[in-house]
Amino acid sequence: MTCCSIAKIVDNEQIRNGCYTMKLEVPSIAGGCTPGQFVLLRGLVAGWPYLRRPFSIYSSDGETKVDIVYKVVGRATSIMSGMDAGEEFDVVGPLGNGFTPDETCTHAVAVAGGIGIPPLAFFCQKYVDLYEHTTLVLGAATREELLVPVGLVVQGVKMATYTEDGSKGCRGTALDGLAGVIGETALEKDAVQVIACGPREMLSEVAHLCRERGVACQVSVEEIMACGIGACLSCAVPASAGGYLHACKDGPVFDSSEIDWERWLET
Amino acid sequence: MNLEVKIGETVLATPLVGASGLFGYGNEYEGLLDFTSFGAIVTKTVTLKPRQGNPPPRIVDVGVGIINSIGLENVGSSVFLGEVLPAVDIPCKLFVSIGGETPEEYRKIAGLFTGSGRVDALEVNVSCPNVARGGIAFGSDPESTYRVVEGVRVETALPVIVKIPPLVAGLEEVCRAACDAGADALTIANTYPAMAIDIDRARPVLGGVTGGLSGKAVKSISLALVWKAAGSVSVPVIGAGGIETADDAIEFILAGASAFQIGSVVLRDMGAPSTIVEGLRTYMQGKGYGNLPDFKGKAAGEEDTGGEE
Repeated sequence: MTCCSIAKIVDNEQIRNGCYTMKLEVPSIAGGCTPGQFVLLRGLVAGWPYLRRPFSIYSSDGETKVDIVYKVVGRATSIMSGMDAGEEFDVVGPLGNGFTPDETCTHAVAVAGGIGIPPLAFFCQKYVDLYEHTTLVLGAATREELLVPVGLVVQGVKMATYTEDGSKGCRGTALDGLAGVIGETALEKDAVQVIACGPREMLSEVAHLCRERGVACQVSVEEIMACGIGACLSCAVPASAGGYLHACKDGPVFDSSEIDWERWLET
Repeated sequence: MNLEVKIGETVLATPLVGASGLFGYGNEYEGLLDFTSFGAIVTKTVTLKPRQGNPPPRIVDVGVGIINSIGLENVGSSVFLGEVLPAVDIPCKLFVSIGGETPEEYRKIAGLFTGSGRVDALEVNVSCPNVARGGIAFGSDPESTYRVVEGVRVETALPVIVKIPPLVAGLEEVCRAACDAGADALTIANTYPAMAIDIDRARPVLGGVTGGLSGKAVKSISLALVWKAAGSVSVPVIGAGGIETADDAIEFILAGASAFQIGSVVLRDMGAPSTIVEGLRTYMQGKGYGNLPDFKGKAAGEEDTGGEE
């Protein structure tokens, strides 16, 4: 159940230039969160901007602690990068609808672009046993941009790494990786479930490819939000049925067919 | 100690009111907010037909507050009355914010709430664009304010609160027009026209280009407007704009507000409603006040000699 409480930093570690993992002690959330859900954080420190900021849950020990991964992109994340163990956040969560695993599928393919990896890593950790094969496709521009959080190696999950400059893994994008996996296995389309998280343009391409191949696809999206519970209606995502969905309450995980990608890319 | 406030014939248990837009239709914060601290909450603005709202991004954090451009997204009057309203279950009064594109639409929607039971008052959002006048807000001049409120008054026996936009020339005239047309109370004010620009992309941040600024940045401006409005009308004034602490709320009451609204602060602190009401009690106890009228407007008697600088 969603609640508002205090999260205390256990550990805040840089995993590569500008990217960090943060372990938070927050029993009210750790006990009941699922992959794809998120938390809203407001640092209880001087200089924090006005609103809380949303972060996907990267992992949970199921009892007291959750981890998030973040990249320094603005004032809030910059402040977070300087916070130490023992410092606190006002936190709301767990929020939103997570991924829905489809046990009738034999293959799960998780496609992560850039900083999109956290909810997919959580998915792989939690649901690996439900599928015969689970593949995590990681894509980034360069080796330096590639985000492989510490402790990600999950038994039974096949990792496929792509960089656009070929400096690590295969040369290409996460989308090439997805096309390769779907293509190579010559699977029945009903046997594959794709889940994805990353930049909006990438998600749009993943959604397009999956639609072409007739493969089911769930995406975890990002939009600027405020309340996190569907009250303020800030985090609008154009809906294919017309009007808008709201990332916090209807998502952040959507079936990719629910989103009007063309309209969303224009914004 | 008695914190009750009367708006028309409706009695609020406390002077703290949840501002329109932040609290959805009433139930969204169930289990998260202490609704017993609230005298009432105001719903999102409901219009006759559903509205899709503005393209994203709809909100931007500017540090001292937020700018929003939701665009009045709402489910429309028929879904609101048929599905949403019957499910509202909160232990405080419920005010419904209503909006329209013509005075006729305001009149029609006001009529729909007569006898709906759960609704305790209507808050008329006259910041909606007046389509017949090129989209200028109804509340920007006394005459169109009068026309909107007059129609609503005819249609409903519920208390009518008129929410006045902040940057209007002749605020007192607009306030008086609303009262002449039958308003039982005024909310002063709405969000302030504002914008933010993405300097990398060299374009406005918000999908709606401009939006409304709220949060602590606007508190002192709203306080002066409340002081001005309270001095020009005899109906209760509900102060709104950037109230985040008990001290802020007390300032508004001392300026002449009978009640006050909070909004943006709950986006950062869900404990704010109880903290504010607790702090208000402590202040009243310390000063020996038993009721809000004991100090309402106590700082408002002074003449304005400061000008604008």
